[in-house]
Amino acid sequence: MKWSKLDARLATALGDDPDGADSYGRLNVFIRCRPGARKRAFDDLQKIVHSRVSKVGRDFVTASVGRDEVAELSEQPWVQSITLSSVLHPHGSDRSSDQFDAQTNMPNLQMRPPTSEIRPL
Amino acid sequence: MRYDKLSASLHATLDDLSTEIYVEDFQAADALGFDRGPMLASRAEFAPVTVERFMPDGTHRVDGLRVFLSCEADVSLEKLTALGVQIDRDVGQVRAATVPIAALDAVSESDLVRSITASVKLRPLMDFASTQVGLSDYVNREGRTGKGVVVGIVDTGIDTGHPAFAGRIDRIWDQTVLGQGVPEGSYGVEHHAPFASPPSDQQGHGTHVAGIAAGNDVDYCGVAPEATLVIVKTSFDNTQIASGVEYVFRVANDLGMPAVVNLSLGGHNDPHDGSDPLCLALDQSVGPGRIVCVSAGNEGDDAMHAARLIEADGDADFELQVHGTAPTVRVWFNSWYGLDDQMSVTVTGPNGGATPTQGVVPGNGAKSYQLSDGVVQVTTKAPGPDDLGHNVIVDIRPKLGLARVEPGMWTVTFHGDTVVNGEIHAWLMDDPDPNTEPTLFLQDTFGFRVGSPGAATQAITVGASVSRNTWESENTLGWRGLGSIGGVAAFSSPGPRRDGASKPDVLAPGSMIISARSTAWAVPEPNCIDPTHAAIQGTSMACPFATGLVALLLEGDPSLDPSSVRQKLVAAAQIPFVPTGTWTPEWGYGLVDARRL
Repeated sequence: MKWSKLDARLATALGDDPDGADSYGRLNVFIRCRPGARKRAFDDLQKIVHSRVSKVGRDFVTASVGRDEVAELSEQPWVQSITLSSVLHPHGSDRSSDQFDAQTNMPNLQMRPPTSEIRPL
Repeated sequence: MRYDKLSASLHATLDDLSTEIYVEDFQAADALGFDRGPMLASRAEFAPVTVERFMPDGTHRVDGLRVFLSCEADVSLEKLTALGVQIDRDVGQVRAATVPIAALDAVSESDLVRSITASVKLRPLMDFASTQVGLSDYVNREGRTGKGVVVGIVDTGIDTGHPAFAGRIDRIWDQTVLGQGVPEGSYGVEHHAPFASPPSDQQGHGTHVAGIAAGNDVDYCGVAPEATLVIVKTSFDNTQIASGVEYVFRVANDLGMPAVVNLSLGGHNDPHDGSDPLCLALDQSVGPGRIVCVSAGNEGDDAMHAARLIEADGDADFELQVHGTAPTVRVWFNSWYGLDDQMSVTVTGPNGGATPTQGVVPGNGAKSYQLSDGVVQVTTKAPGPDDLGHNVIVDIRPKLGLARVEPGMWTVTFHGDTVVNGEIHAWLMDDPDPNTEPTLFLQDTFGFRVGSPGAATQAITVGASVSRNTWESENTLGWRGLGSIGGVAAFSSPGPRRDGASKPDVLAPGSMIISARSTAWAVPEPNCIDPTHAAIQGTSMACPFATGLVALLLEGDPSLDPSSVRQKLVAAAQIPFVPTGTWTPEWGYGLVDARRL
């Protein structure tokens, strides 16, 4: 594993369970490819990872990966960095929107909507 | 008259009635060379509810005002009825009443009354926009409705049966269910119009947002009511949000239309400088005829960000208050400091137990510690190739066998081993249980609350202004929110970015906006307006206003790119009594006035 290519949250997530393999299920990640390498990256990536591989932006590929796949990806010369996904949240005031499930092992950490400002007259 | 007891809008009404209309404001505006038009429109919009009588000569006169009277909870206002005051709601610290104009003086002098606030009735969004932000003037001038433009909504879904969207939803990608997916992602299910079994919107957020941007509704019309809608019901995982944006742009391209995507969402797990993958991917996806609008966030009045400046060999403390009123199951501290600095970190629990001092750790950078107050994992990994700073993460969890993090004050102490810049920024998050008091910094620092994807350089990032602070719901006479109408909403996240870049860009109306209500949404009472409409607030509601405006701009010029769109919006925005082009952390470049587009 080339830890230097992983962001701190992904490194934390993987390091949290040194025994390994996919005990948290698969992790959604952004893979940043070295400039100009995405086409090759996409082809190579599909040989390594078989789940939810998509191109986004100009330099990025997203994928759903296990620990071993992260390790293999981190060794690829065309991989510049790998970043764990985050679960975002809506910026409205409906508290029921707090119920989204994270697909990673990261906690579903969210900020509170502005309902506390509302009170009956 | 006790003018100190009167709300600002009531002042304005009295000025109106005496024809001394905002003389001082107009004089100030004239002195600064500003247009009086927006001020006039704004005043009309915020006019209190009046009781009027038609006279035999065809004119009408104002006899009374509907107001809220603040008083002690147990006081009787019966004495006021002798003045002709009609008490419409006679319980609590705020009473609803109708006060004759002639009695206002005496009511204001009464010791029973602490303050008098004008009741302002919520109005259709289009009316609202046409006055406060000049939309109807713009629409009348340009004749635009968003026709021929795709408005993409990446959110909680949409109520396809809502009449506001009839015949205009082209397709939906539901990322939240198992399926073959679309070219942008091999997961979820794509639905095409007409929708035989469409996904529902149980959270209601996406439907409401879509209604503001592009609802076609007799009572509560959106900004671009003839736009084509492409919907992504997202899982809110940011990799899938990025794919959702790509999907909207591809579909728009297939349809031969320009597109603007609305992202009324965000988070704080990023460096707040636009360098995270979602921000960068968005920056790379946009271009001519491909625009993204993002809400700034609702953390303006949350003590969830703090900054410290540290000297070489000095220490800086971040004190975190974990509340004990309900279980907090996890606290997450996301902090960043400069690449040229070297710092070490110690975490101390409420009962004094502390982690060892931890500098940069090789490998994954994470070490866990069992303290008497809980399990603490500190990550001090060396920066990766794309990082613009050191990321230190502190993850606090309950001790084994306990269900909650020890309440009290936790302290994260940084020590400056090598200091060049010395600036440390930290953001707090905790578990999302709404019954839990949030974990907050004891001493927070203003600003720096626009996270990803609002921090994206090429995004149009939108904060919220206060557009309503009292309203009537379906079953309750009145509700009150905070904030002064026309000002920045307290919840609207202020910038700048951690690197100093100017975010948010502009403000738009965002408090208690009435828009489409999803039938699958169990709407809380304060938010119910009628069976097909709800009122909610947040920068989520401000963002689609800007999205709709961008759709109107793209209708006129489909080749507009993010830079030119931003220039137009910034030029049309203004902070009151401040020269155009001035940026502040809360206002951005100001509230957008569509008349100036």
